[in-house]
Amino acid sequence: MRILLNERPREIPDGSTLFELRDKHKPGADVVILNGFPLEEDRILAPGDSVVFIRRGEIPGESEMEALLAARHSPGIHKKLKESAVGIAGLGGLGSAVATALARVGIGRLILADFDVVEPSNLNRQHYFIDQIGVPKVRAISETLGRINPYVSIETHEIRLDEESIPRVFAGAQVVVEAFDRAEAKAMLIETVLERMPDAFVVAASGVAGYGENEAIHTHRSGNLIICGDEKTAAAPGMGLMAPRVGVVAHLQANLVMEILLNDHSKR
Amino acid sequence: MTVSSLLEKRRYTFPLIIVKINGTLVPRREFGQHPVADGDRVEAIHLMSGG
Repeated sequence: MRILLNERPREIPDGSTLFELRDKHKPGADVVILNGFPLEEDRILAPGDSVVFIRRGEIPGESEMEALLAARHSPGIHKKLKESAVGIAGLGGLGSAVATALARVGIGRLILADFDVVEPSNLNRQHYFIDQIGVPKVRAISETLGRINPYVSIETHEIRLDEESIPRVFAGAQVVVEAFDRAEAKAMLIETVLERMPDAFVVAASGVAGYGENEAIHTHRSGNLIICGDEKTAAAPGMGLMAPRVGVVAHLQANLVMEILLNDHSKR
Repeated sequence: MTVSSLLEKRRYTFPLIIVKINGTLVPRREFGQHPVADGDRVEAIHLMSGG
């Protein structure tokens, strides 16, 4: 009969038990999961069962991690994502969340640029940890992404991006995610990519401050430029930047990156 | 009419705006000279700080 063993199809003899399979394929596994539930006692397996064996603390090798992602996403999608390159300009509330989501789905190459260090005030919304305060954001995020999926290729640039450096830093990226804080920087990045990287898409964010007002958040498409946010709420005193709303927009941006990469959007 | 005079007329005085005419970006440095013709499709996208 056919079952799924660590997400991969496998033929096993009828009447096999969970623990027999464990002793054969992963002796010493201390966690046994059958169809999503951790089990302590043995049982006879049925066709179609999904079995996962884990040795705590053991990090899957690259080919095993690849197989897990391919099984989750389907092999065609996995391959496309693996062959993709995405740039992220700014690693604050938007960029750190976009980078995390894209590393999780296994984008092959991430190009990350930021000049800042992690500050205590960043922790209300940005994907950093308290023990990373004072660390350059490019380094802190690389460490974190390496703990999520060490097989994603991360290229970092500790740099204050400008018109001259943007095309060089993001060369080869199919999509550049605008994840800056200041509106002036957003405008500069959008104009530079549209003018100087005509084959690339820009996925930008505008209007992410405050809380609530889910209905106001939308996606505005304009050729190779796509903008997420409410397009009205600027960060200001009393209208702060907070994890939930910034995170919603960041994930809309990451979701658009997926659409662009997977749907073969024609160039403008 | 130029992009600048159009933005002024519509009171789009917000300083950080991306303008596209018929789908093509008009860089900010050209707002003062770039003409807007009858029938042009003009898009103005406001950029708000925060991220």
